[in-house]
Order: sequence, then structure tokens, then C-alpha cells
Amino acid sequence: MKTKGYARLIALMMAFLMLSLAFSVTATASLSKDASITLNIRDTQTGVPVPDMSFRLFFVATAYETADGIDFKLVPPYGEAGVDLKNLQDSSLPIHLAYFAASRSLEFAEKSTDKNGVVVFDKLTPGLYLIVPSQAAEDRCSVSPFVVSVPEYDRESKQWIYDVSASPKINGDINGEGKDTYISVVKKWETDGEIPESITVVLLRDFREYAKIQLNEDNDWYYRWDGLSKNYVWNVVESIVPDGYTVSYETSSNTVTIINRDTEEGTTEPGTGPGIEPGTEPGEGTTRPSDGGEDDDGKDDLADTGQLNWPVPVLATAGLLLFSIGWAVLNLGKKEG
Amino acid sequence: MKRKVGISLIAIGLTLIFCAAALLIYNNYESSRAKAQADALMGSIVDEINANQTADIDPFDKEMKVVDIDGYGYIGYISVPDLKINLPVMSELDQGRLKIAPCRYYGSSKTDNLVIAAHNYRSHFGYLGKLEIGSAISFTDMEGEKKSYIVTSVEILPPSDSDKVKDTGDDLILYTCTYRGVSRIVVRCSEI
Repeated sequence: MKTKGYARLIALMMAFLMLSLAFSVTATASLSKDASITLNIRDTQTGVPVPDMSFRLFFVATAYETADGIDFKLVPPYGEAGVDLKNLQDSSLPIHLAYFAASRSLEFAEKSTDKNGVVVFDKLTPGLYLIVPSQAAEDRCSVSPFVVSVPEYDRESKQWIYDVSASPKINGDINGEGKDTYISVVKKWETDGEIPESITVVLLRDFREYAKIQLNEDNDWYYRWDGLSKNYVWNVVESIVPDGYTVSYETSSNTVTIINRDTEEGTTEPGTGPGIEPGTEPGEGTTRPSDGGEDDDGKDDLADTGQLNWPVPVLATAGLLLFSIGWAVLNLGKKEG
Repeated sequence: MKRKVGISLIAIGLTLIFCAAALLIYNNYESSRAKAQADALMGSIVDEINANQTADIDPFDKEMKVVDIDGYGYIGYISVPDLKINLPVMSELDQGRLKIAPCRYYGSSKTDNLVIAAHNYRSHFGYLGKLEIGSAISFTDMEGEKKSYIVTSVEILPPSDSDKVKDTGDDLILYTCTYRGVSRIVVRCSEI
């Protein structure tokens, strides 16, 4: 009798295990079909196709289907890049990844546009790809690095699209009229644990390494590069993200805040990216896309958007009340007198 | 003795009434100044949009174009006919910027998750709570792309409910403070 009871318990546990496995498989089903990325390069001003433009394709992460859509897993060694793929719209992500890939001379596929300005990367494993224009040593970089995920989900047809097209913008000739600009960089830590003694920040000119600086307590985790020509695009990236942290960037006017968060905290808030286009004017110091303040969990509050109106009726009522009482007391005193 | 007490109370009462009047005048001045600034900026915004409309719009570019005017970045302007307001929208948000114009709190009109915050000045979002379901709103970005919306809900949220305005599936969300400033009036909109 007792043996029967044990057998039932084991059977129940087995069934539960099988069900859990089945659910986990459906929740992370891999996308196995071959994918392709087509780039259509045209001059932004004239619309004329741009031939013979080379692009490098880096395989950054594999894609798998989840109950909510698609998710990615970084492939080695991109796991060491310190990025969080929760926000692919973050314009800082491709610049950081491009620097990481270049500094480690990572493997890539390279192709050039044909006479119609089209280049096709096909037979791709579903995943996240970084696309960087190839640059000769002195060439201006006319297209910013960008990321493309394949497949894409089409909400209307409710189907996965494995052949994805992209038309990146071509940066026009920049004429800064000889003027200079600057970039300030501020380091911010979001951790309760110990932080490294210093980090290295790289200044990029047209997405290529231009200068390096160490930030630490001695310089209050702050540095400013002055005298930068407005004829170039300037960005900053964190050279090596410390173990156990992810990096994100927030830009306000000419100030870039580099934020390192504990990876345990997980979430990366959307940033505005580290890119500073020539011609931007200094603003009012460091600001954030959301400046509503933070609570103890580090979550943004909704911004305070209220005028100080409520004291008006309170003060007026209290004033009238005291005035009336004072008037009454005064009159009473007069009568008694 | 009663005379002294009476005079003191009258003096304190008058001081409080004076403070109330001063605050009221200051708030009205701030509201009028914000209206004048926003009106002046609208001309520049429309000029910039007209100038940008000649350039090709890249449908794959999900980044909103930000145009610098007087040292601040702008992403477009919002129109609320029922409140008779046309206001420029700044790219970033802080208390200094909010005194000039509504600001982007989160998202993008290109990814249909734009959240705009503004002061409760009468000339900004002061009358946001008066909007009714079905009221029309439009947002025009700096590339001249205009999106039209209708109001789907008007609700009050505590300031800590930021996750209830980010990526909620609403195409556009506007919010401002309530009169006392302790809560937020949140207007959710759907694109039409």
C-alpha cells in the first residue's frame, strides 16, 4: 500500500517535470530558418545609389523566440562587451559594439554595394548583427554603425520576416566652418558594491579612436575635451566595461554620462546615445531624458510638472480668517474701552 | 491688551493675504512668460520643419530628428485643438526646460510610445484634465511627419507609477501635475 503511494508520488513528479520541460521548450524555441539582410544605400540629398561602398557584418547574438516575441543571447566574446540588449533603439549600442569589435579585431563578413547601391548578406543565422562601414585610414565615415535583428516580426501579417532590408542614412559633408566644440564625460556608478579604482574612456572621431583618458576619484570621474573640430562626429565609449557591470550612455548637449550598473540589477534604461553631432550648442549642464527623480529602487518617478498653486487659497483663507478675528478682537477692545 | 492682539492678528492676516497675492501674480507671470516663449518658438519650429521637408525621410530610421534652437533640442510640436494649444516639444526633460516648453519624457513618435510631460501652466497642460475621450490631438515631428490621435482615457496616477506610462501600448501619452502637484493627470491616446 505504502509502495503504491510512493509510485503515485514519483509519477506525479515525473509528469510535472515533463510539463515544465515542454513549457520551457516552447518558451525559447529557436529560429532555425536562414535569414538575409539587404542594405540599400542612397545619397540622402540626391537619392542616387552609392556603389562600391563596403560594409562589415558582425554576428553579435543569436535569436530565439519567446512567448513575448524575440530575445537574444550574446555570442562569445560579445558577452564581455558589457552591453544590455533590452533596448536595441539605444543609439549608443552600435557605437559601443563597433569599438569593441574593432579593438579585438573580431571576425566579420565584408561585402560592397553594387551599381544599384545594394548589398545583400544572405544565409545568415537568425540573430543580432552589427553593421559597420569599412573605412580606409583617412576616409570620412559616412554611415554610422547600426544593428539589425533578423528575423523581424510583422504585426500585421503576424509572421516572422526573415529577409530584412535597411536603408541607413548617409552622413552629409559636415561644414563646421572651422569652429571648435567640446565633449565632457561624467562617470556614474549604480551599484552598492565596490567599484574599480579607474576606468578608461575613449574619444572617437568619426567612430575611430582619437584619444584616451582615465577617470577616477582624483579627477572626480569627470573630464572635458576642448578644441574639437566641428568638422567631425565625436563620440565617447568606455574602453573596457568592468566585470559584473553593463554600460549605458546618456547624452545631454555636449555632456555624456557613462553609467555602469550591476548586471544583477539587469535592466537598462533607454539612453539617448553617446553621439554628438557637430553644431550642437552647450546647454544647461547634465540632464536626462527623464529627470523626474528616482526612488530607492532606482526607478524614475513621473516628472514634477506642477506650479506652486495650492498655497494661494490656503494663505488667502488663513489671512482672511486672521484678519477677521483681529478686526473682531480690536472692535471688542474698543467697545469695552 | 486686546488692542495689541487684534492689531497683531490683522497684521499677520494681511501678510498672509499679501503672500497669497504675490504667489498668484508670480504664477500668472510664469504662465504668461511660458506662453510668450512657446508662441515665439512655434514660428522657428515651423520654419525648421518646412526647411527639413525637402530632405528624404528614412523609414528605417527610428531615431527622431532633433533640431537645435537657441541651445535646446526640439523634436516637433503638439496641437490640442480642444485646449487651443500648439506647443513645441523639447527632446529632453529637466525643470529648466519644462519652464519653456513641454518635454519628451520617454519614447518616440516613430515607435508609437512617445510620452510628453508639461507644466500645468494654463498655457501648457493646465487644462489637460478637461479633455474628453475622443478629443483630437496631433503631433508633428521635425521632419514634418504629422500623426493624429484621439484620447482614449484620462486618469490620475501617483508620481511613482512611471511604468504605467512607458511602453504601455498607447501610441501617445501626455501628462502633467494635478492642481496640488501630488498626482499626475495622464491622458492616453491612440493613433488614427
